[in-house]
Amino acid sequence: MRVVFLKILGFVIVIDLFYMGIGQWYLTQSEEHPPPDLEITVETDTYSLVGMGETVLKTKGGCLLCHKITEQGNTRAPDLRGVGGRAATRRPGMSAEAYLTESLRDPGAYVVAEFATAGGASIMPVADQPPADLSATELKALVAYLQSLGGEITVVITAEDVEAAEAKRRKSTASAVSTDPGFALLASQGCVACHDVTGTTRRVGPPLTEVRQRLSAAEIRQSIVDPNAVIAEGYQKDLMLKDFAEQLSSEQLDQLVNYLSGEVPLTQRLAHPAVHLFVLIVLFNGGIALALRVMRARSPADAADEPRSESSRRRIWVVLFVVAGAIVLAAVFYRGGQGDSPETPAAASTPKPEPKPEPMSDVALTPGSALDGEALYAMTCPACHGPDAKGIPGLGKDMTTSEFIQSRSDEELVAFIKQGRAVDDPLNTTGVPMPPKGANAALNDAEILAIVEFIRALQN
Amino acid sequence: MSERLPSGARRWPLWLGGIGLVTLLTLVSPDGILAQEISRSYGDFPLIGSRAAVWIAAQVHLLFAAFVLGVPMFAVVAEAIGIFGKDRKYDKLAKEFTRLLLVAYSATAIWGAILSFLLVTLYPRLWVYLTQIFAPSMWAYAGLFFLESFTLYLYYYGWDRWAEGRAKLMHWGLGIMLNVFGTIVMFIANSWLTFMMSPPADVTPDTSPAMVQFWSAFANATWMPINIHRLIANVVFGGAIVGAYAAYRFLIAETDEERAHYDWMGYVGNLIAIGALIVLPFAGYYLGREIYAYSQQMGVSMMGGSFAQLWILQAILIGSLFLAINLYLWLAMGRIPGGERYRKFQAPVLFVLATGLAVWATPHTIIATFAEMKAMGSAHHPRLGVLGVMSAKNTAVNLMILATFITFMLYRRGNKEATSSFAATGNWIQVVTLLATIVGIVSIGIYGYFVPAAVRVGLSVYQPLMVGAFMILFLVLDVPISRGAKSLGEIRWGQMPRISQYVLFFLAATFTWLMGLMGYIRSGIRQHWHVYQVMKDTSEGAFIPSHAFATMVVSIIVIVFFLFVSMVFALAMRSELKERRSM
Repeated sequence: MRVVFLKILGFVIVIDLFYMGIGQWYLTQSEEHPPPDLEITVETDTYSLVGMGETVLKTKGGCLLCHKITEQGNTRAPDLRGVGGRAATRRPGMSAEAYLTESLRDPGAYVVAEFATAGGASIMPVADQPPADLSATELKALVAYLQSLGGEITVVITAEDVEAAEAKRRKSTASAVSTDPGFALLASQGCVACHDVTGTTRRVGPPLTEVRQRLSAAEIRQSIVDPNAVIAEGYQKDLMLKDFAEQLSSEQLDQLVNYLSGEVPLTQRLAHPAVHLFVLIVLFNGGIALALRVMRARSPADAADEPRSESSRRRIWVVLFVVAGAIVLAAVFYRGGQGDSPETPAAASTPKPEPKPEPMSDVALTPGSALDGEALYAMTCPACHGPDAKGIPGLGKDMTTSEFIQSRSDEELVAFIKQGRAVDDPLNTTGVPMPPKGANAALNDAEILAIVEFIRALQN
Repeated sequence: MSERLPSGARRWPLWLGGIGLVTLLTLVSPDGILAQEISRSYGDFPLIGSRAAVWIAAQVHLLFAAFVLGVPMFAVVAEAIGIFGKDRKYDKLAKEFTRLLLVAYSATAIWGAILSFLLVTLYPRLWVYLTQIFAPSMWAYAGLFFLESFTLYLYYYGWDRWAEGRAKLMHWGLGIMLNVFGTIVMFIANSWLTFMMSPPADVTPDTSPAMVQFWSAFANATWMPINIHRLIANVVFGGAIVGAYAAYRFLIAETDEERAHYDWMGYVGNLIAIGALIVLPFAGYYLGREIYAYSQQMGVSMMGGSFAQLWILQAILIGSLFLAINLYLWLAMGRIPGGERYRKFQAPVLFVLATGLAVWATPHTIIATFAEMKAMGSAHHPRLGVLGVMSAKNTAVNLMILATFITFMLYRRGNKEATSSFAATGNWIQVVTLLATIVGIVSIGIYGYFVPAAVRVGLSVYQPLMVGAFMILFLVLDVPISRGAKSLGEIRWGQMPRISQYVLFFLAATFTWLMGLMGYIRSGIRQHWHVYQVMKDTSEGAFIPSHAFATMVVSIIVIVFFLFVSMVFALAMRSELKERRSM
């Protein structure tokens, strides 16, 4: 029997190796990595831009799955050789650059007849949406490359393109961030405005990247509840809001402390999906084993052959006990898990429905009120926007030349400051969240209006 | 007589203890795995990495799942033949099928648990995302899994108790319920993986999982095509593995009676596999078409992009299957009195199969050397152009299916001599329709060279339709032809050369390899996305590996599966031995 088994095993291994061998030696080998991140800036010269465009075409764009740029290649879509020249003549009155850009952003706008589907539509996916999901700069680089194929290169990268590309990159990487609710709180509560979490820049508050090495969980909690109790060396007192902890629920405070300290309480560990799975497996196997035991115990043949011993009865009780225990534990864990489930990045990065602007408070909004906008500004905004409101790179924008401020009414600006701007807001171009009321929850509407008036006075 | 617990089931406390110990160690560790992964998107798996670990666990789990879902389908059919045909032999066969299920079921559950733990600890972000959308169906899955297991145990352990009259019908009903539960369980799990592949268009990277509509995520674009494809593939796979079990029992059989029984069982298993395999390509077309309809980009990546070369390997695998199936049937004709009359058809069938395999396995583009290109004047031959195009491949595949069908029909006629007055006319009609079908298939293949790609893709539907229509017509005509046919003698079960049993192993190994490969392609076409176009894979393993690496992993999966499945066989045999002793 053993010889037969070994013969069969050997036979199966030979078959297995035969097929593997085809994969190893007969097929063409290559790895396909996710597309590289290209550094395209306003300074990128045309030659480099065309090279990057070619990279986009061959990698992230996936263009060669259907098009070709050499004699060999796919013919599902138009041959791209000479497209730079042809593009200028496709649609009367439209430049080559405009035509190529339209072809990428809206492929159905003009479809070359012999490549249209039966319904006249295009099979090409939109280039600036998934799966290619090209950024504004990548799209322009691609257009530059296509123009280089027999045409004149007219593409210019602007600061807006770079800014839009950066915003898109941040948005896509936001989906890869931590799932920990404590991490989400760091962003939503505006901590990252003053504390660095990337280990790259110095901000007004001490960095949080190594906080768990410096402070215990209790000390971190104390620093949040009473910011002036212990001041890190080299940092100032009174910069952090004293009532910050009051803005958090006790659960949020725990989540924040747990995240920063790296300690995971037992209840949270037990609420983990892996534990739920374990309990499920215990319940499942316990249930099956119990059912089988009962079936055997009731079997008349068994009863006749083998009188049930005391020990087998005891085993049934042990199984019952295990199952009951598992049910109780499951209930306890489930309760522990309520509200603790970590938010997914998609959820964290999802723009929440626009909250309706809160009704203006009782304090009358009277322009030119006696409130000292400058003093209120100094208490709230300089951490990110600088003492002169000229902005701090990587944190807050320059408010003295802001088109955004100039184009909005006082009421709109008050509503905006009250609401803040999340990091995943498409209009957020800094990558840093603007906390509601600049993280100074004590401000009322009149005080915010005073700050707005102060900022207006600074406009160049 | 009562059934005993198989030894695998008696060891459940050991499994539980092991899993419990690992969980406990994780929990009590101050800086344990859970504590770390809660703040991470990905975990690390030693030596082979996270991706390969999940890949192997998922595929081995799926192979066992395919087995335990496929086998009950024909177990219940065999039992029905036994009940309504009043043939105890089929009832015994059905019980033998079900005995294999018991331990295989535990193996499925164990590998499922391993997969779940790996996903939770190595891909926590993805896991949390999916649970937020699919939590209700996950609990339904667990409940149905319990019901399915309980039904299976009742079905097997109640076999002898509910053996007669109404009780037997109730027992058969249990078998049907087992299939119903199993199928629903599979449909639920399919929804999770197809959602990752084809999420609804309104789900974007910005969509909160809480806002995703459950049913639109559940019944996504590729859900039903995968359901149908897997349902049929499970029957093929189950049949092949049962065939391998029977082959092993045949090879170690000590008596002629035993040998005859396992020869018959192997034949039935093989027959089931062939029957389902013939319809599998139609389900494959449907799935492929839906993938294209969902995303041209994904479809093109699958067939013409990164995975294109793997279809050559698929062609070799399926071509080998066709060759092996035909070889088995020709060998089996040796034990049929009168079978020698059809030996003359072996050569033409072999020619069709070998030529078809050669055409099918030809790459789309053969990369020419500079000298060759210079001689040809371009990268391709001036007249032949690119060789391995779909028109030729589809033609080859359909002719191979046709040839295998003819072999099987000849096998069926092996020991029969037609006496009906309609026989001569019926045979002529069959021959003429066969020739017409061949001409039709080849004509469509040639026509495909001269039309645009969009039209060519559409043609691939007509060829299998012609094959299907021919099969139905042939079988319908066979009824009056074989009416009152004279028997040339009984099939001499057990008188098969030993090599024929190795063919059954070849089939089982090749089917397993094929499933591993196609599973990789289906999952791989998401490329660097966990959920296609919604959640990016930013882990280290977010790239399409080389074919060498992929085929090596598939190869390891096949070996792991066969080692585990031999344990299943060994435990089933032990259980049978105990049953015999207790009788």
